[in-house]
Amino acid sequence: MLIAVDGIYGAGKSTLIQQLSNTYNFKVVPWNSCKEIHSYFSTMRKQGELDDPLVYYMMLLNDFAFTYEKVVLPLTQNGFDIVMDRYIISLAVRGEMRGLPLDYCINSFSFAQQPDISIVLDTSVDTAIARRGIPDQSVWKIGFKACSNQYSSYFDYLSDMRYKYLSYAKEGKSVVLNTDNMSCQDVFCHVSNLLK
Amino acid sequence: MSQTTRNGKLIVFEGISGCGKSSQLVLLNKHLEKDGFQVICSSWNSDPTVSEIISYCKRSRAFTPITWSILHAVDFAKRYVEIVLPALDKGMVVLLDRYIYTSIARDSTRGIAQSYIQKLYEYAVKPDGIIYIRTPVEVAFHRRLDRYNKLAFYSSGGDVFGADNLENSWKLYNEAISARYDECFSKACLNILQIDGTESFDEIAGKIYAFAINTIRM
Repeated sequence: MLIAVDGIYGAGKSTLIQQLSNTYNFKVVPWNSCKEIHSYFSTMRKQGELDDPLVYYMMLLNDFAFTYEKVVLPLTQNGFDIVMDRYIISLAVRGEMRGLPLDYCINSFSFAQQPDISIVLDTSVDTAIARRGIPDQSVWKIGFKACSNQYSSYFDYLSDMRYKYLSYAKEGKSVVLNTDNMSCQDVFCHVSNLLK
Repeated sequence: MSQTTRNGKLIVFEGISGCGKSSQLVLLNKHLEKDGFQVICSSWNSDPTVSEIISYCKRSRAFTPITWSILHAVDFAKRYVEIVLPALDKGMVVLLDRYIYTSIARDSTRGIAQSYIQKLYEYAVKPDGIIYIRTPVEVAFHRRLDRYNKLAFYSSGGDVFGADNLENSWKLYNEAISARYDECFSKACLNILQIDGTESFDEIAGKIYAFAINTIRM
């Protein structure tokens, strides 16, 4: 079984994934699990080689493709149940955030199997920022609004991202859980019921 | 694929490995520069960082068909954004050693759907001119062997046709690519010069130069 967990920063993905792993012995696969390839991505980003939206997206897709082929497929083919910390929805959202057409993004990852269960964890942007704060410089830089107010730029960035996650989830068959007023245990119980 | 609406002219060379593209491109570049044109050239898999990743994946035999396709698309996208588009905007003549047809031919030989590849490259402009040097596989094979004296795993299609007999795989791989090129270039909407790669070097160079001048003046 392949379970995908997507959502904006601070939505509670990592906590849920850890609980699923501990309880059901799922293999956890972050989407940049092919380390050698991901190291090139990091280097290129630091060197400013990924400033162009298309080039950035293509490298992100490359990272995903290697993880899928080298980690996800071997695990599923050997009968493991896996939980993906971000999957194709995150790829679509990140591509769209940079102005790429959604149909272009959807085609680009069409080689990957659809998840058996897709969960989008949702939270208000205020809550997400309260939980995680404003991330480091590299993430801050991807905010699309160049202004001196870091909070405002990041807020707008996350708001747009949240909207795109919810739109995509609505189009597909994802289960959306708003975690604003749910404890970690509540979220976990809800997902456990889905698995049953 | 979008129509080119830029000031410059994009001329691309296609054909199987060993067909003579690269040598002809170098010569055309010299002729056009001598005529006073501003020319820029770029080759397949030549972005410094991405080609390093490609080399790493080749050495470690890490490619699968889809990762092969996508990583080469990264190299293309980066050169397209950094070299091709700015040069076309400046009104330059851009000569490319291979274009998206290389991916369509090679990746589909590896089993990737052509519709997937065409969509992946849909942002790329339609070239003003395509020079397709069609050379029999046997001839290209000997040229390549004379030049490099060895056959590499991926460029011989070892991942598709097996690594036990790379000579045999190379020929099968390039026959398949050649057939896909023929299919690509049978479309009437493209401005193509198709050349018999067994003609003399000078004859081919003359035809290419005339075609390029016509294309630039179109």
